[in-house]
Amino acid sequence: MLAISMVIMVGKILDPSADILIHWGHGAAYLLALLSGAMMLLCVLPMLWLFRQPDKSLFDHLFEQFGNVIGSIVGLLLLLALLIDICTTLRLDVHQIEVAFLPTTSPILIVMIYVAAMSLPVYFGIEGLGRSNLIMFVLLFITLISLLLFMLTRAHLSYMPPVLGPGLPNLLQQGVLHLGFFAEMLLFFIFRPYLRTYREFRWSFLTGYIASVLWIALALFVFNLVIPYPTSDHLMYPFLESAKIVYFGRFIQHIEAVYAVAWVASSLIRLNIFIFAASLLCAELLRTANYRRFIAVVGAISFYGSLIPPSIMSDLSFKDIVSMQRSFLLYVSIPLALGLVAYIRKWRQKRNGKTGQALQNQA
Amino acid sequence: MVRRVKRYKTRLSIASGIRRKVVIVLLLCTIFLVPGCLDNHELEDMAFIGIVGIDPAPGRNLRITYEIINAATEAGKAGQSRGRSKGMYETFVTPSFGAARTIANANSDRILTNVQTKAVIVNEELVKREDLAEMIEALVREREYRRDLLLVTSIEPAEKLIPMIDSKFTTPPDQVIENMRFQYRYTGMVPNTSLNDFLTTIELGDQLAITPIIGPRKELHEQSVIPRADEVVAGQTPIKGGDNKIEFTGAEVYNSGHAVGRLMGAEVRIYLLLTNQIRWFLENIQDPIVPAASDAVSVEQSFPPRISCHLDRGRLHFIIRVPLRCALIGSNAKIDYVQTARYTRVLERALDKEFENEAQELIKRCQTEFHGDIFGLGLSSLKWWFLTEQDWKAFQYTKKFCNAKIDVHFMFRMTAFGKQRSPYGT
Repeated sequence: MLAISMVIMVGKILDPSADILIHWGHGAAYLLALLSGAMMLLCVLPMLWLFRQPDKSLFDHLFEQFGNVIGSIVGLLLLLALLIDICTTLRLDVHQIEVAFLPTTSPILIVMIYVAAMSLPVYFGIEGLGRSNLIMFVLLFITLISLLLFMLTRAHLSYMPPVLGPGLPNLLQQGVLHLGFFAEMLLFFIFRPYLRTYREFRWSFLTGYIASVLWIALALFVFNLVIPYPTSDHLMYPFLESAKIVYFGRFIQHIEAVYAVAWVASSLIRLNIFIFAASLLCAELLRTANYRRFIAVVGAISFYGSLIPPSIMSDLSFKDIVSMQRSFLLYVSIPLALGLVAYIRKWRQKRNGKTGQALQNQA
Repeated sequence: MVRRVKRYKTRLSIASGIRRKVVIVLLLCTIFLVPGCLDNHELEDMAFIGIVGIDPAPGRNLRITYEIINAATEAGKAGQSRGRSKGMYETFVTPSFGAARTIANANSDRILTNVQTKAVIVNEELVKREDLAEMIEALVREREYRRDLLLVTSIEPAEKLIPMIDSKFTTPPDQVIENMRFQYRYTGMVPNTSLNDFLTTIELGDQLAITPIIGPRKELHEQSVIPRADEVVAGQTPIKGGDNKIEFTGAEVYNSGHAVGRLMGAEVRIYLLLTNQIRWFLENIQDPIVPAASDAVSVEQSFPPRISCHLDRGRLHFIIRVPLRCALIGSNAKIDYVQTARYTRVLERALDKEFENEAQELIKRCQTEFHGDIFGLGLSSLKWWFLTEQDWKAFQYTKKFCNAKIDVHFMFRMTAFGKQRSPYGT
């Protein structure tokens, strides 16, 4: 679970999604990542205690606490947000593949192959995905660590200040608006039944999430030392570009090829998890145990959905404005409301229980 | 009923087994498709552009020169040593840099590609008039160009100069350029500026960008004399024979993308010392005790310069201390600099003074001629005082730099004296 969480979160920084944090955080993009990550965690913490029950996922709690109608609506909203995220991420990844490897291949063909490669492994279930994730986790982190170390050779500490970038009030405002950048953490709550104990779940969730946010912040920090703001804001593929400028003379060149291959593999495994989660959500929403029958449907929706944006910029803008800035209330309110409603119900049950016992005692 | 359920379960397990096999087959098919061999090009079908030259052309056009490498002959035939014939050159006029390759592709049966481009050479005359950053915008936008390629300013037309890059060591022209970019570590007379460094510096706006200067070498004649080997730019050192017909010395300074002046080799050395980019170089100075004699020293920069800054009644005051190690490698002054510590100190102070004077002259040129900071002093020491971008912008650093007081203190320490203990004749 730790590997899954880190691949899902850290993998995000390697595609053009990183542009969003760089654009709003300027030279302090790493600080924006830390603030958004911390705020998202604060929003989610109040509902963490609910997941002591081993066999209940986020959807079960939504139905239980909000009732079938509101629970279904909230679940549908989450599913919609996840599908939008899959479609926009898929398109961004395909764009990066076009730039890195396949400039003349039709993007529709790349999307088709990509959808097949990200949907088919889901048939093997969480165990297969988990094991392949573990391998990818190792590969991704070796690549990322080596890339950051190589990038340090081109780093200038003088590019770091001003340390607060556009200013703390601005960063706090953008931190709230962009906490959706870390909304993928809600997937852990869907995977809760796959973990045996609450302790295991809580440890892997908190460790994975905090480590991922720190990694993202570190990567953005090092990136800013290599390509400072405003140049960084002009780049469409920041980490691909920074891998390209790593240069050790004639004998070590084009290391971005190694990096890009590792990135493709990690991107596919990341999307596998997304498809798995979306299929699982569909199954839970329709109250059926077999999620596999939804894989093809989710794959098809991802395929067509990713072809909707006319350009990468519209895709990125949509992800930034709709998936994050306009949806931040959704990510804030659902966990808070769930935690609060569950707590009130528990408190009332406890009070009713006490009153009942007192009445019994009186009788 | 039990039999029907059993039959249903068996059918389900058979269906699941078949589905699993289908998924595995499909997955294998996908694995073969994912590498993207649909987009492949054979090496024999391609030709690589090694160096790109940009010269002015009438109107708003550009005169582009390509040095083209034939990939098929690059490796050499079996049993032969690796070696390559001279590159092929192509020059044409185009309205924009971005679409220039199309014109070149029209008269070649190969696919021309920029993925192996090592350097872009721009004519000085052109960049005095045009904004270089704006002109080469296509370089960073187009997928094939890399931001680590070397950006060079040429004092002669690039069209004339690129074919002159012809090493007698059979090094291909693009590799000559690539090797030359690291010469700064050992000569200190040329900066190593990549396209990324150039654009980053221009876009940051608090520092002036510089690029190396390339020029055709001057032939040595009977009357050829220069005051000092490093007080020149490319094309001013007379040399007979040698490897290349080109020379890398000096730098071009850019303010807002326009070329505004040249730095001589010695000035580039000061720039590299103050920005901690040099490793080792040789220097010759007039002997401080016997003016008719000269001393040669090898200088090594092991530690970065210490830069401190404060506001002195509203005026910026930088104090820069540059620690350097040096070794005496030659002297015809017949003074015992080795065994007499007093003389050693005299030589060290002479070196300090020599370099401090050069640094002050360069700083004066930056403040009055180039109107900006080429060293990035503000970035390395002053910018840390400011917490937000708005505060830093409001400070107007460049304006303040031009009126700043800058003290540079070189701190030479003579740590070695070569293989001789005492000089000849003492």
